[in-house]
Amino acid sequence: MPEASPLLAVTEARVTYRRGGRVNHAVRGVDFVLGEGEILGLVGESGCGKSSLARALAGLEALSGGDIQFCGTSVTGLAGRHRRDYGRLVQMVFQDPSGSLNPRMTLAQTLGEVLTVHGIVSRAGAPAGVAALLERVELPAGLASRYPHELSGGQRQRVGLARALALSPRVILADEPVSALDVSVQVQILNLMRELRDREGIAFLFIAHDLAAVNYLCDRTLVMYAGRMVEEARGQDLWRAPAHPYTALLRASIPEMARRSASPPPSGPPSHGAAPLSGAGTAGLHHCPFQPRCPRATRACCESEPALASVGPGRRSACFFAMEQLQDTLDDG
Amino acid sequence: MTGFAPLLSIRNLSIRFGAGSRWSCPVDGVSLDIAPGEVLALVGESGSGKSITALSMTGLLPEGTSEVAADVMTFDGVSLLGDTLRGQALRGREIAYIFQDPLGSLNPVVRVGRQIEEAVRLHAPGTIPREEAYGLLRRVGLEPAEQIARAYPHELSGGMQQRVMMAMALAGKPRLLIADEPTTALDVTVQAKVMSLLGSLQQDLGMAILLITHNLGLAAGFAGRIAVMYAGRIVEAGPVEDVLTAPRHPYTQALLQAVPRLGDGRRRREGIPGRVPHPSCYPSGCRFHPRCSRATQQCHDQTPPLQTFGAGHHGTCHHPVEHAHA
Repeated sequence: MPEASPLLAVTEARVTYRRGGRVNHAVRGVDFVLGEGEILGLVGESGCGKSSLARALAGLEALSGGDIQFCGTSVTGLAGRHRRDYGRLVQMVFQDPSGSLNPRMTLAQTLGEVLTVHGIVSRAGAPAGVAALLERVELPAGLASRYPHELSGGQRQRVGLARALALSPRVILADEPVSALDVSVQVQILNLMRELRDREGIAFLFIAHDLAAVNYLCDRTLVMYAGRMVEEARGQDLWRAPAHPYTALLRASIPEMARRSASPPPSGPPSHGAAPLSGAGTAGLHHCPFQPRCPRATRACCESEPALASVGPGRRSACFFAMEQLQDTLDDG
Repeated sequence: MTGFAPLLSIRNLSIRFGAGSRWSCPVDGVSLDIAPGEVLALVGESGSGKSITALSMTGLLPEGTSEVAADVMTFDGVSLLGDTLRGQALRGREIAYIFQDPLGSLNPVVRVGRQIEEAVRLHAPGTIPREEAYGLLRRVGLEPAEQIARAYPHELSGGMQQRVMMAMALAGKPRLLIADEPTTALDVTVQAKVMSLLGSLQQDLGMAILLITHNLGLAAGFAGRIAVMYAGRIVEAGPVEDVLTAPRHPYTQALLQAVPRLGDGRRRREGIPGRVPHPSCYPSGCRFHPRCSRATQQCHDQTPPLQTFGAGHHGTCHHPVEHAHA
């Protein structure tokens, strides 16, 4: 995908929460770029730091280390007008659309407020602006006078997108935007996101735990584990042939129509081995965080944390045995 | 399933909700059988009546504002309708229920061991509650049991909480376990573990499972039979292989086509237009007709009768989907 002009470039990003004497290293040094008009997927289990990363990108959380560059300019120390500009150009859409809409305001009021407060249209121009926004998210103009509770979940999420679109963003950070929706509706929102990219060139960071949805929508995918990026791949490469044992485990865990077996995936986690909260460790680990659950783990994995290294075109993996993993999954099918 | 006396048998179930003069009927005309030891998946969009149907089997629907009626509703020959003492005794013990949100179903200020002991006292009198609770914790893979028993719910992960719920459900040695979206709130790797545990418990204990899910992949991997529900009715039911590879009802087909799958790349998929109707305004005739691409005037006018598509494969549609090599 477009390597030429990264819209967002994240280097060594760290997010740390402190409460009392306890320090939680939610994101521990993450690097990636998001290209112009690219749809980038971000997957990982609860607690792996993906939402913290998105919040940092949106400026809702301060980085405790590293840097975020937007169009070549660092945004970590921005203030005043520049900070507001960045906030406009990078928008966030949340999982629960009803929680982010005022129940006592009609769509016309909600969307009109965004447009007028930011000076995008005058008060008189608001109805036309609202109508244009509704059209961009493929909602009938007649819904403008409705309240959020009168809409279906899918319609509410379209309104969430419309509100983000109001500020003409270049990037939309979508944090689990379809997980709360019905299966029959999810794909409609995914299609809308793809159309917005195709029509308007908006880039998306799509955070999800539904691997099939990520595979369906994204040009490139990042996999996070315990606050670190463990794999990156283009297109369908990730699911065709994982280059990290964790990705292989994720793939094996998906219940698929084709696979009829009640047996656990071969490389299933040890009993009650949930993903460790990234805060459980220190900022720099002296072992691979996945090692306790990994079928490939050796002594080396207990002694140092593997770095994210290139394993092919557009492909990175943070595993000492990435090549072997890749080879095995290719051999399997 | 033929050749078995069904464990649970329901004919023409209807459930009404309301008060005063305002009543709606979210579920009507539902018939289903569950054989001993089988896994039946009940699938459909939210609001199609899956959970209400399951709750009616356990008597957990609110009294006074709901009415359950059926021609037949029996569990192992005993009627579950009304307040028969025998029917009540079955509920919770022989028919156990696990919910989507384990944290919401556990008492936050009581250690999980005591909560399991409570279920044991209720459903398995004559045993030593503490010993039995430890045994149940081990049974669901939570070890060391003595240590887990002392934990409060919030100290456990989502997957462990769901295992605690399963331990409580198993206290009465149920012959039917209703699992209502048991893994929806869980991560995919944890989901795989919980489902494989459910599968091995089902095989070891020979209990039947009614799995309520919106995840067709989960249904495919776990169930032997599947029933597809839409707007309060079962529109198609049959062996999982038949229903999912050669769906005859357009709704089943649309559901299958709406879900992206890892195997088939990025082929564009379409959702189902419109939404599940509210029970107060169910459409006439076939309730799916306003959203159906095959609908005709007949679908608007007449409720389609139940027809047989194949061995154990039934459905209600005026214009079922044809498959070239069926």
